[in-house]
Amino acid sequence: MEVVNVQVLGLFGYLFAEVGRYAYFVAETFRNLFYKKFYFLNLIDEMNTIGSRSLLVLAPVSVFVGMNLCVEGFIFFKKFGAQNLVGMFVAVANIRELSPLIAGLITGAKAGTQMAARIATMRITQQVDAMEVIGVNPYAYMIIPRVIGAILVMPFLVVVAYFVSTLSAYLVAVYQLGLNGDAFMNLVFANITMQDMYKGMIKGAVFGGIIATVSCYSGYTASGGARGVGAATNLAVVRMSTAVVFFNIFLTEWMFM
Amino acid sequence: MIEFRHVYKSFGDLVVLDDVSCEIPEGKITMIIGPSGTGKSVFIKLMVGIVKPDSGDVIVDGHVISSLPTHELYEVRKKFGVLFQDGALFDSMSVGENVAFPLREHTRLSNAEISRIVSDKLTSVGMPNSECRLPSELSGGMKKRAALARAIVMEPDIVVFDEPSSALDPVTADSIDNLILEMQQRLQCTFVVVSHDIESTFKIADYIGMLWQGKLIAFGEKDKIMNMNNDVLRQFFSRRAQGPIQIVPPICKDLDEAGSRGAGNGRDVSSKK
Ligand SMILES: Nc1ncnc2c1ncn2[C@@H]1O[C@H](COP(=O)(O)OP(=O)(O)OP(=O)(O)O)[C@@H](O)[C@H]1O
Ligand SMILES: [Mg+2]
Repeated sequence: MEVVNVQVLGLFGYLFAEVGRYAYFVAETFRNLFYKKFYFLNLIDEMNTIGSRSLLVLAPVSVFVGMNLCVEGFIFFKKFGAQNLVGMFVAVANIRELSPLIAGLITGAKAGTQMAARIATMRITQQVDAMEVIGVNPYAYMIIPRVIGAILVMPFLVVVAYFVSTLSAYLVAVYQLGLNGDAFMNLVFANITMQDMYKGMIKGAVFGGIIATVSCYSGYTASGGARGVGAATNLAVVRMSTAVVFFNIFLTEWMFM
Repeated sequence: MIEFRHVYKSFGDLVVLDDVSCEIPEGKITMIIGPSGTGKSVFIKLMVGIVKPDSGDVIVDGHVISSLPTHELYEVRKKFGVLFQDGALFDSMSVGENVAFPLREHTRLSNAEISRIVSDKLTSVGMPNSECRLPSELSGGMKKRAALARAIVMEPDIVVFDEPSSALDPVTADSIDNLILEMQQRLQCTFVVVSHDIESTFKIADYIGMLWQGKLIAFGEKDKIMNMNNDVLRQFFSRRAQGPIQIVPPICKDLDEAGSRGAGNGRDVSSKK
């Protein structure tokens, strides 16, 4: 089916149609925000799931990212004899770029794929139809809580990623590279403002929205048995990681230029 | 009342329903019969607005289902209790939560009240004390019955069952027939039941509709349909492989006795997915 589309419309046409369908899905999600019922308990549940699932992977990954960043910064700055400035590099690269990106990609890989697979299974086994027929709006019941949940939780995941990676960078700087810890921390604080922090969190919120809508969209439009669930999950990962990296450029240009 | 007006539905090249019109009477049991793959489930999905017709209208109590705005559609759907062909229980919820789901969503009953109704309904489908089990732990027939309990828990005006007894043993199937009759007499609700079970069709139906090759070839009161002189109906009612309905032509041909007609006339169901 998709292959036929590609042949008939060309890759561009296919992409265009797909983006159109996604936009319609997002519009429909927003429209149903004002549906008479808001499932607050589902929201809490989703926030809990997204947060706890992602955190367990995000925290260790952030440790390694921080260590890596510190070592790379050290090697680079050492060429100019300025290895003491590594704290500055770590601070800026981390809060503005790496923490939001890592938090986004990990949340996508953990919580996003779970959303896609879960909703695709419900679609394929007619549970979504059953919900509609019972008179419960599936957007309100399961899409909106996931999207809002991701938007609300992601900024905090960014902050966690930031603190964990900065701490690990600090430990490497002091205990492996033999830099002065106080100087490192002073540079970190001198080079980021609360503004940077907020902007990193905004990035996180945007990524959260992208991840949840793309995952839910991929699951919601799944068709064709177990293979369809696999395809939906696969598409979700490809689409959301591309979208996150893509929108990251615009957010950076818009907020930090 | 439910009315189909010149409903046409196809999936790609496959025409499933071709100009189907009928009026399903209120307060009666209407059975929809027809060979596998003729669009009985699609017929039901059109009725509740999950599938939209390519053209034509489906009208439920004056509402044109196919063109209703979303929130009104959800309101109209509260009139319905629907059992899908494969149950469609929510697999993340226990049986009890599944059955309680419509009550929790649409009523303000207390928890005690809800669990009383849930246990009542589960008992009436022959599954007492199974509230805590998960759908994945149930047999096919039990899933069907749990879904049945969920469909009737609100005591809806219109009850739609897609093959309620297809996965059940004859004794349980008969008790489901009795449940349908009892409910219909007590609540005067409209039943639309898809069934392959000719015996039970004759037992409980007030009206019968027969779908074949995209057409509703017969629709009317039970006695009228039973006595109709139509080859397709006669073949169906007498459970013969020979006749205008040809499911697997090559094998049937081998078994055919003299006098069978219409080989290759019917649709080859086996060639579809
Ligand atoms: N979503 C869909 N996409 C494509 N084709 C479909 C879809 N739903 C149903 N069909 C096709 O429509 C035809 C009718 O299907 P339907 O499920 O209504 O049959 P049925 O009469 O209920 O059969 P059975 O008695 O076996 O349940 C089938 O050929 C099926 O392949
Ligand atoms: Mg069917």
